[in-house]
Amino acid sequence: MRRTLCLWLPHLPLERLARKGDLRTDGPFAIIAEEKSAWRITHANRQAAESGVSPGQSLPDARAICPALLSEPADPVRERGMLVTLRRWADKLSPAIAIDEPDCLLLDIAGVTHLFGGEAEMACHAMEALFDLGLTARAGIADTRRAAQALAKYGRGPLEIAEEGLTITALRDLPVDALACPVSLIGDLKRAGLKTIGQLTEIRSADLSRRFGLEVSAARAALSGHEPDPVSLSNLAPTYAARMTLPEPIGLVSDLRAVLERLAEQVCKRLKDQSCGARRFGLTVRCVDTGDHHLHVGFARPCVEVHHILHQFHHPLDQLKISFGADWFRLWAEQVEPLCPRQMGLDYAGAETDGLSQIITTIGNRLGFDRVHRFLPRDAHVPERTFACAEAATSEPVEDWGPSSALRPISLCDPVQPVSLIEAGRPPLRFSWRGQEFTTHLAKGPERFTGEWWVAGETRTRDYWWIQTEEGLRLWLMTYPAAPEVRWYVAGVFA
Amino acid sequence: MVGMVQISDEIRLVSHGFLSLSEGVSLAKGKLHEVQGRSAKSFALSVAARTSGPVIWISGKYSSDRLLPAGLSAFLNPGRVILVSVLDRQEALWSAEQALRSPGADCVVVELSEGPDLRESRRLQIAAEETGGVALALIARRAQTSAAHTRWSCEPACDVARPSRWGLSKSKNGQQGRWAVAYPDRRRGEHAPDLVPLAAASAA
Repeated sequence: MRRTLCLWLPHLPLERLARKGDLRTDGPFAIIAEEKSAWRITHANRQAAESGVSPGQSLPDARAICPALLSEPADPVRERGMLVTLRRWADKLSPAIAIDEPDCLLLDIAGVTHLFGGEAEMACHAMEALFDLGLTARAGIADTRRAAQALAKYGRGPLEIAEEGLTITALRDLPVDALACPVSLIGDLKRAGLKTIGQLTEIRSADLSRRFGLEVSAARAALSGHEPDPVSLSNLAPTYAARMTLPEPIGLVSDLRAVLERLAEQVCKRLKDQSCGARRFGLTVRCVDTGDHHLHVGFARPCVEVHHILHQFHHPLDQLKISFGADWFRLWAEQVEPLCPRQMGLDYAGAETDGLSQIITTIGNRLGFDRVHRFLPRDAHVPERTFACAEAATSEPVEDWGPSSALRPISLCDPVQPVSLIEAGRPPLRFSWRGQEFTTHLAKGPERFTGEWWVAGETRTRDYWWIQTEEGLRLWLMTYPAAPEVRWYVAGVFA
Repeated sequence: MVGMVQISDEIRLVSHGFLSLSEGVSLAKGKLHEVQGRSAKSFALSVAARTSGPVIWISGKYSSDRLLPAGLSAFLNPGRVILVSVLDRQEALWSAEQALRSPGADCVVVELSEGPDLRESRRLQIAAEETGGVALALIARRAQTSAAHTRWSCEPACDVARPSRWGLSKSKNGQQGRWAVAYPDRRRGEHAPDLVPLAAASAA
């Protein structure tokens, strides 16, 4: 038989701040959240409650009742973080734990209670330990998840236990709110005179469903264990990090590298066991005098090799100024991705891409990954938009990029550069550009492009000419045919 | 004692073979080659078209002339090109050296305004020797005394059939010459430039 222990932390957001040493929590204090377009109280501490502040009130009302009230908006992310930490703490109680947001921990305690001397003793132990952490807890133990929750939240004492098989009996006196149904349904039940779970159990399921819908009878069945009410156990996301604390601070680069190597070995082993690699590694070096320094390196491909990590951290570690030494280190992996090991071909084709990603990584870490690009084709006809420059570290190369059917220069002038005409013509017969005079020998054109009106920027119609100059250079000349004054520009160089 | 020279590992010269450009004209792998002139980019692309791996192209971030993949595609698959944008000469040389030291790059092209000096070119040369990649330094302005293996000057010509003239102005193995060049064109299935020696042409 499954037994579930529910630990409910009713004042978690308040106690989180109190634990942090927030002095405001000494006086009347409340946690607020925006609800139905007004700031409302969600949690109020004892002093505030004594002055008449209660959850659900709007903040102006509460301030009118208790002028000394101080408040803080709720921080769901940090509260969840705290719950996750507590879930890790609860590992010492039971191996199967679930988080029930926003403020409950559910523990499957079947078969572990004898270690603590019984169910009540175990729950007391947990509550005392939580009390030592500065957290108020209420506990409920029952056969089902919902029953345990109902006992913790609506039970009389801080610890309520429903004996095995006697769930409904133990829940008899609890209010119908314990069904955990929508508020409107609970209101309907109460209006019909059904105040406690005990009254509800006397009604036949069919009658209950006909009057209040299937939801109420389903909740009742789940409460009593007649219908399954599974608990989804939360597994902690694996963390790929390692830290090292030294008795004496160190400062030599060789020592730092030795520390980093040991940390990297641990992290890489853990990554390898999961067949994962990380695209980014962070290293925190805590200096005794200047505090924490965070160093980061990125990789073009998921990496699990210790020597690659060492190689990339070489430069940042060299740049780090350590005067009095560092004594605490932590290396962690970010952007963990599954590794796709590839068979190295007989022609060592795999080694080539390995080498390339190593180049991208090395240059990207020093100059920035936004400085290493590769071309990707784009479906556009305007020459400067026929390609995209994508960051090489995060993009895949295009396997086959066939030759362009049109005549295109190898370098594109961006922006286009005006030429000064010496002898006009279409295209100009003689012109000068970059301090040199050119005479047109041969010309091909015009090739006309209409601007892409759907993108911002240049949308004028353009004519392009291929020019062979007598000086040798081949140029790509451009003009705007619709412009009132004819101007010529160099758009590209064939050379 | 003459004839009993001990060759240590450090000074052992490793030949990485040659990259044949055309019949009788080749470019040593694992060496630094300097290229000058207005057709330097086309030269680099013709050489890159003869290699198979990725091409690392290092150029200034604020250069007004950008490579156009549609134009490159006549020489090679533009997907092979990895562009590195650098802010200054130091970054350009550092990136080129790092790229050459990794086994991934068959061809590394670095655009420089002034040619590498003796020290810089020696570093690039050593890096290229490690992996056997071809290092090409495209020099926009003035070349300096350097340890480069060859120096080419490439100028466009007013000639539709053979639009470029390549000259070998310096070579450590004594090769000299001037060629009229027709670029390779993938559209016609050509992957090597067609070189005709100019002296021979004039003699004929």
